Amino acid sequence: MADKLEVLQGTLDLIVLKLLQGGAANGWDLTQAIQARSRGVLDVNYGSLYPALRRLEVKGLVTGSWAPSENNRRARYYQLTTAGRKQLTKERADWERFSDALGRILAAE
Amino acid sequence: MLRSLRARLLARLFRSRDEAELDEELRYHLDREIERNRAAGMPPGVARATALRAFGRIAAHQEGVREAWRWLWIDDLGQDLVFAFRSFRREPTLVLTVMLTIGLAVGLNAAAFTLFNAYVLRPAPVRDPASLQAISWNSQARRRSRRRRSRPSRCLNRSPYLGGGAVVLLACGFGALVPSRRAARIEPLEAIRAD
Repeated sequence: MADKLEVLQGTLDLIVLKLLQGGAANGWDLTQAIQARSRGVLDVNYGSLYPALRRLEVKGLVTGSWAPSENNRRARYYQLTTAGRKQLTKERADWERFSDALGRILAAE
Repeated sequence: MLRSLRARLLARLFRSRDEAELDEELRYHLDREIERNRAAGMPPGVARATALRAFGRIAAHQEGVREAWRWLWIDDLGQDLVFAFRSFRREPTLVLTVMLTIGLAVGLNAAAFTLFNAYVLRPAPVRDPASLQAISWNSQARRRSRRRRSRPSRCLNRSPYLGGGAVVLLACGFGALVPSRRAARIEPLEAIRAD
């Protein structure tokens, strides 16, 4: 798994918010979705995913609740709040500006 | 803001329940990982071992989550303070007004209480305050009109001094307010020792 990239510091919140936009999901779903959507390039560290979820929950950007999962076990599902939706829009715009700027810097010469 | 405060309070109140939930959450994740490995054709023991290796030490994750939670409020507090000071900088007039208002109010209250404390609550700072006498005199004009006395005389008003300096304070206060027609001059009552 040497060719996998760690999720960049600070982008995990944005990724989680974006993935939750599609509906409630539990931690496991999120790790699978990250791997699938990044076509296996991004590998989220579980040790940072759950702290990130807690952080988002404490900030009121997501709410967590227990619900039966597809294999009939209790799993904690996270859902975007209105504040979370707003934060997603903002962070997404910020990220696009940042990556655009970085792209220009790297392309220069 | 309110929501996050509530979440934090709840987290504190139900710390142990929260830990159990976190435990269950991570365990669920691990089990899904094992399931996936088994579906990929691994024997149970290998599937579990692989999952555990990929997952890392569970305790370490739990500690990471706990740590994030523990320090978050300090972080938030710092951010709130910075935000507050920035807002102050943006509204210097408002801040100045508020500071003056509060400062004056506190100062006035302190001054008023200091006086009240010194004159009313505490006994007069002399030996045997109960034996103090109050002396006053009235002008000749008033005496004539009232009592038709031709001879100027001083009226020595001796009254047992009531405990504390309350009478002095009240007399001084009212003395300044009494119109000059009724009493041309009332000297500020001197609190002297009777002996």
